Amino acid sequence: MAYANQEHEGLQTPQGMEEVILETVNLIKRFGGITALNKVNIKLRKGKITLLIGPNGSGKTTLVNVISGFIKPDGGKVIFKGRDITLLPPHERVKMGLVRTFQIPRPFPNLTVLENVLAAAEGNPGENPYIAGVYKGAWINYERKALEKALSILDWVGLIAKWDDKAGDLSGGQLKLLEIARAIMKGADTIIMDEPAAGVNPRLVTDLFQKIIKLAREQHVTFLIIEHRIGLVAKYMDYAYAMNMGEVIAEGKPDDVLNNPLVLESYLGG
Amino acid sequence: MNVEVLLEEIISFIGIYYILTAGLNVKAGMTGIPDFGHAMFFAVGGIVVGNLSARIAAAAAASQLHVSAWQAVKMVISNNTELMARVNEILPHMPGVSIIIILFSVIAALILGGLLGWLASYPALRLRGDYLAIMLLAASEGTRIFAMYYKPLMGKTPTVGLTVPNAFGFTGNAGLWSTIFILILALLVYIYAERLYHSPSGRLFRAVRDDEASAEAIGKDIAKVRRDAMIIGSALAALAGVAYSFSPWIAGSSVAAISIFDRVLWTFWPWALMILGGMSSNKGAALSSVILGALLIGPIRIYKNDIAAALHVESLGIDPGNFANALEYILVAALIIIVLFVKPKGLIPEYPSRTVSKDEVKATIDKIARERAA
Ligand SMILES: Nc1ncnc2c1ncn2[C@@H]1O[C@H](COP(=O)(O)OP(=O)(O)O)[C@@H](O)[C@H]1O
Ligand SMILES: [Mg+2]
Repeated sequence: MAYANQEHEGLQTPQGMEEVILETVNLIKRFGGITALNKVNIKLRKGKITLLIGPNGSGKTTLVNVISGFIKPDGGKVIFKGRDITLLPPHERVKMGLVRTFQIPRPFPNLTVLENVLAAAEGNPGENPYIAGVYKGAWINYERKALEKALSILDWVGLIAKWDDKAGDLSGGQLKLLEIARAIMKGADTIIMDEPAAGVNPRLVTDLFQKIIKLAREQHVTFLIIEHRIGLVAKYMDYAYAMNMGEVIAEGKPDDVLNNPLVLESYLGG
Repeated sequence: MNVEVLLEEIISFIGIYYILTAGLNVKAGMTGIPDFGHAMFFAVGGIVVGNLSARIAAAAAASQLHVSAWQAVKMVISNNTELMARVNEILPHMPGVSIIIILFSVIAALILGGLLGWLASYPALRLRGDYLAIMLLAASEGTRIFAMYYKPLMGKTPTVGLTVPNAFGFTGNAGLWSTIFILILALLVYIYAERLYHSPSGRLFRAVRDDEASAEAIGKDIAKVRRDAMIIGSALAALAGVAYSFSPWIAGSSVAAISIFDRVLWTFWPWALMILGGMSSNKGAALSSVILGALLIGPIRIYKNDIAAALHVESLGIDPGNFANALEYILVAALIIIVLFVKPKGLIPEYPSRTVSKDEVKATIDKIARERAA
C-alpha cells in the first residue's frame, strides 16, 4: 500500500503554475454584527499544500465551513474543479473529492476506530439497507477491499493497535489522527484540515506533516492546512495565506508570510 | 390455566414485541430518531388485517352468502359484525383463500407501513430531538383520533372496530398455528435485523446517530439515511401489527382504533424493552422481549392477585384489584431501574457491526504487518 512506506524523502517545492483546483471568489459571511469573512479570495493548486494562518477569530474555520458546505455564504462563490459549488450540500462536495476535517474532532464515539474509518468508504453497495440485510454477497467483496485499505491507513497513522476500541475512548491527539485517517479513506483529492496538529504530541506532528507532504507529492492530493505550529515543516509548504478579522492580509511563500510584519502584528494585536 | 394456551400466549407476546421493538430499534436505537409515534405504524398492520384482508375474505365468501362480491366488500364496513361472523364460519373451509389472506397481510403491511414511515420521515429530516419526538407523538395521536371517527377506515363504532378474518381457522388449531406463524415471522425478522446490523448499512445508521455533521463530512446523505431507517423500522412495526391481529389474543375477534393505536402498549412498551435490552442492540431487544413476555404473561398475570393479597395493599388504602392490574407496570419500571443501575447500557449493550469477523480483521492486520516488513 502507498501508505505503508513511512520514510521521509528530501522534497523540493516546485513553484510551477499548476491548475487551480479550488477557488473562492469574494466570499462574505456575517454573523449578526460580525463579518467573519470579508471578500475572501484564495486559490488552491492541484497537488500543492497551502497553509492558512491567522489569530483566533480571524475567520479560518468559517472559511472551511463555507468551502465544505456546512454554512452558506452571504455573498461570493466557491469554485471546485471548474464548477460553482456554492449551493451544493456537503455530501455532494465530498463525492466530488473535497473533504474537510474538524478543528474539534468529530468521531462516531460509539463506533470502533475501524468502523469509523470503514464508514468513510465511498460507494459501498452494503449501504443500501434493503439489500444489505438480505444478501451479503452484494457487498462483502467491496467490504473486504475497504477493510484492507482501512487497516493500511490505520497502520500508517499509527492507530492500528486501537482498531477495536471505541472512538470515544481515544485521546484528543489520537482523535485528530482518526480524522485524518477518515479523510484519506474517503479517497479525497482535496483535503482541508482545520488545525490538525493542535493537541497532538510534537513528535507525531512532524510525522504527520511528512505524511501529508508525501500524499501531496506522490498522489497529487491537494491540501489546505490551517495551522500555527507549523515549525520545521514550513519549508515544505507551497503557498500560504494569512487572515485577520475576516480578510486575507498577506499571501505568498510560507516563510515570507510568516515573517510579514502585518501578520506578526495581527498575532500580537489579536 | 391451560398450559398450551399459556405457552401460545407467551410465545406470541414475545414474537409480537420483538418485531415491534426491532423496528423501533432501527429508528431510535440505531439511527437516533426518537419515534414516540411508533404505535401509528403498528396500527397500519391492524388496519391491513381488519380492513383490507377482511375484504378479500368477504369477497371470497360472497357466493356462499348469496350476495355479490362487491356487496360483500362494502358490507365489511357497513355491516361488519354480522358479515364477518358469517365470513368467519365459511373461511375455515377455504384454506387457499386463508393462506392468500395471510400472505397478503404481511406484504401489504410491509409496503403500507414503509410508505407511512417514508411520509413521516419528512418532518424527521427537518426536526431533531425533543421537537421531533413530540411531533411524531402528535402525529400518532392525531391519526388515532382520525381512525376512530373515520368510518371507512375502522368501522362505525370506535370501541368495537373491525372483526378480523379468522385466517388460521382452517388449520383446526388456530391458537397453535397462529403462534407458529408469529414465531416464524419473529425469527425471520431477527435474522434480517441481525444481518442489517452487521452490514455497512447498520454501521451507517449508527454513524449518523452518533454525529450527523461528521457523517456529512464523509459524504453521507443524512436525509436518505434517516428516511431509510424510518421506512424499515415502520414496516417492521406494521408487521408486528399483523402478527398481533392474527394472534391468539385476538383470535378472530376485532381490532379497534383505540387498541391498535394504544401509545402505552405499542409505543411505551417497545421503548421500555429497547432501553432494557440496550439501545441499538438487536440481541438486547430479543432478550428483553423474551424476559418480559415470559414474566408478564406467565407468573405476573397468574399470580398478580395473590401478590397483591400477600402485600396487604388494602391496608395502605389501595384497591387490591387495581394494584394487581398495575403490578406489571410497577414491576417493569422496577426492572428497568434495577437493570439500568447495574448495567447502564442495558442487558446486552450495543456491539460493533462485524461486517467481517474479528478473526478476519486480525488476519488482515498480520498480513499488512508482514508486507510492511518485507
Ligand atoms: N456559528 C457562529 N455564530 C456566530 N458567530 C460565529 C459563528 N462561527 C464563528 N463566529 C464568529 O466569527 C468569527 C470568526 O470565527 P472562526 O471562523 O471560528 O475563527 P478562527 O477559526 O479563525 O478562530 C469570530 O468572531 C467568531 O466568534
Ligand atoms: Mg478555528
